[in-house]
Amino acid sequence: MSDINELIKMRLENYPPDVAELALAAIQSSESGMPESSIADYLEKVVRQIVKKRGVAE
Amino acid sequence: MILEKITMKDFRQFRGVQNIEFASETENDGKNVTVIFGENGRGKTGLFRAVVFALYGERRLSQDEEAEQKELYLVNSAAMEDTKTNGKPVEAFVELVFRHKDQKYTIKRSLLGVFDKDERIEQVGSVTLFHTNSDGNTLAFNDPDDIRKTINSILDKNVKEYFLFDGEKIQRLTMASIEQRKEVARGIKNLLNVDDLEKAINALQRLRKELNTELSKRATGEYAKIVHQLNQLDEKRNKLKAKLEEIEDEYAHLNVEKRKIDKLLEEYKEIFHLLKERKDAETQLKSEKEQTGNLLSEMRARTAKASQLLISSTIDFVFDSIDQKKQKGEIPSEIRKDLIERILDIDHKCICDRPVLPGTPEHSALIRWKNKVSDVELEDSALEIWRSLSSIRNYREDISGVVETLLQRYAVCRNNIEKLRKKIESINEQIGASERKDAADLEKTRENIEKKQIRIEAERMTTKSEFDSVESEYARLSEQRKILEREENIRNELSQRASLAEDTYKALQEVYKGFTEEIKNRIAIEANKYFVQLLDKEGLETLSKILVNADYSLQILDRWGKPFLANISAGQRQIMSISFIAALAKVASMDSILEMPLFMDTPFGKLSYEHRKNLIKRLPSYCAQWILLATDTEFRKQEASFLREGGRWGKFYVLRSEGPGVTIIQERDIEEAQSLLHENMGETNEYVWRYTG
Amino acid sequence: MKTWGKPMNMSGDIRVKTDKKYKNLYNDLKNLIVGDMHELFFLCACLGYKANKVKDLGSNAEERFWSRTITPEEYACYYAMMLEKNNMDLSSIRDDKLVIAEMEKYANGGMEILLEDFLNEYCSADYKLDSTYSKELPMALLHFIRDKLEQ
Repeated sequence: MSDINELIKMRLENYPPDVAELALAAIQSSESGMPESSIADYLEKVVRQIVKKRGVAE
Repeated sequence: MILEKITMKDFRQFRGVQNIEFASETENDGKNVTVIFGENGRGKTGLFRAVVFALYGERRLSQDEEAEQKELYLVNSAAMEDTKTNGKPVEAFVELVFRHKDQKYTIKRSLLGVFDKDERIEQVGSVTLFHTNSDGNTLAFNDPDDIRKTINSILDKNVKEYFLFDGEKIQRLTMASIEQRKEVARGIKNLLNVDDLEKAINALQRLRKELNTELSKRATGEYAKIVHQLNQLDEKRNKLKAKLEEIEDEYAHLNVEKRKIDKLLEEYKEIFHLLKERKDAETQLKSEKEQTGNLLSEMRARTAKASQLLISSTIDFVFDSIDQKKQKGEIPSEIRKDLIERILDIDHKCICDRPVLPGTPEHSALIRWKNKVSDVELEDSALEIWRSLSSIRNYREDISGVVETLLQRYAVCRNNIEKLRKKIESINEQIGASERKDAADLEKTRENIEKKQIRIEAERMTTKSEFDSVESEYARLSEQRKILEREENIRNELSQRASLAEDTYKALQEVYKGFTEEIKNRIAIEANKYFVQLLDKEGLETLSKILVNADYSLQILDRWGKPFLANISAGQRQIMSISFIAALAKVASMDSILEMPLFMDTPFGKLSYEHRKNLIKRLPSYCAQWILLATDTEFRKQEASFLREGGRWGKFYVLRSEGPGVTIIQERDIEEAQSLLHENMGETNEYVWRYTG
Repeated sequence: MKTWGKPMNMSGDIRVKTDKKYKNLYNDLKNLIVGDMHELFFLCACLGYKANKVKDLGSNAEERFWSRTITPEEYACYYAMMLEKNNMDLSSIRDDKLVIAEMEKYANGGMEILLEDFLNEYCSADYKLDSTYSKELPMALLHFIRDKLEQ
């Protein structure tokens, strides 16, 4: 992960873990060079997963 | 990134295999300055090109924009000429060895040059990257894509121009134009690699919108209502945001217009008093012309009376004659002629009844009387004439006087008109070309612009407050939505997903904003530190601070805190740009993200003595590595001795010409610099190169 | 014997003539340097009389204006010139037609003087006035008259 984004990761620690997770996923997929629309699709899956995990946890 | 060594074969002017080892702190006891010295055209930019080519495979620099592709041959021309005879292609390459975060990299990129009939063709060859990590293991990469990614992660190619730049580029950075702003913004963003962040934010925006739309389709009741409202507010918010941006752009544009007018008005002020003088003169001229018109009318009216003066003697003579006759009693005659005629011709006797016969003395006496008198009518005529002539004579002097006066007054007017004309002409000459538009018009236009700006500002404020209220309404409804979610215990996955996307979007935005804000501020602070250290005495007195605006445009304040960018000298601009770039480098490396060399091509051109001195003394400490490409006119004994005094000068190379299109790189001892370089000021152009074998 | 009316008849029925070649000039100069044609005629008559230049109109005579436009003062001057010329013989002014006829000859001669000494600068060949100079003509004329007085 690039260094700038490391910094961002640090700042995200002030936010709820779900949010941080999704945000990082967004950044990472962006770093990989995916186009925006693909990232959005990818993130949709990530969101589903995170929310599903909540349901399971509860 | 710290450059260690570059090796070139038949690249640009560099015939055969030649190399340069760059001074770097670790290898050279803290000396990090390399000076590469040569006259213009010897290949300094060629070196620059070599670095760019090796790292990115790019054949063009920004300065090449206008050049045709085929003019940018990278393979050495002399080598190419040689192959014309033997038909073999020339293999040129550049190999660059550099360190990044204690890891060593060697990248080699090659190029083939060949003649096809008479046309010169250059083909990109292979590229290899060797990466030795901290454990000492070396990996080789051959895939151009992988290599590209690696290099870009070390120094993104969009940013290269901030560390590899020439004087022109420096100049462009501080031109107060929209392009400059964009360039700076882009540069900073690229440097900080927030491209990815932006893309991530945009993707989240998309996602969140999609989810919210779906949600509003599927949710019911109160919750649905709120979601729907939120979507609408979001749209409204976006529209308002776009409007605000539009308004801000227009405002900025009007400012530019206003500044143009202010500049014109400044010039105008200088001629303002002249314009007033001219206007007064023109009014006077008009009045004088009117007067002359009036005088001419009056003259015309007096022509007849003036004509009378021509026959003054006649008038006097006739008047006097009749007057005499009057005195003598001949006019009117004491005896009427018809009475005498009656006596002589009809009655032949006098009124006393005495006969009057021809030949008698009485007859003769009466004849004499008859001859003296005229007809009654004629006598009356004569008397009338006498009266008329008398009156003419009476005002003769008046007429004479009036004519004189009129002519004199006219002459005076004519004279005044001439003088005024000359005066106006002279004023026009003084005003010359600077009069373009009536100042009143300019003032009016400016006034209109200001009015428009006030209107726009009001619109902006309304829009902003509308935006703010939409935002707060949005926040309020978001809260409500959360509450409803909790209260109604909605475990609806969709709504959770939408919420999460929403929250994450907001979070990243905040992070982004905070991050760039912080970076921008740190850049400004560092830039100002450098600025103060580099600026000459005059600059220090006039200028106070560099600002990096929200839109990344650069501004500089004078000591009264007023924007002053448009008025600074070219040298000061250069110092400002260098300070900015040094600040970029420092901020970027503050968190140990990047170590960057500053690779400067003739930066001294426009700098004053003091600026050069400051730069040479300070810059080595601002960056990890300073590679200075200098010409003989800007790097002389004085600059060399400053550099030596600083103690950071590690390497000295001289580019020497060995014929057209052939440059040889020669390493020199720093000690030799003094003898090789010109004196500062006053030395002739001729100098002799001394070789040490 | 008594064939005329009141004293200083100042007949208004006479058609005053000039040389036909001066037609344009009379038209042009009217309103320019003089109020009306009779004034120009008067000026020319005075000029001609002063210089004693008599010029017959002959076949070139053309009617120019009515004598009723001649002012009493002008008439007085005409009579004066006539009287002086005829040695104060009052009978010389008995017939206005004769007075006018005489003045026509003087005016004809005077116009030549006016042209030669003054107007030629401002005229083209066929007695047409050059409009570029016309504005300052009244002033030039007064100068001219003043100069003539000093001669």
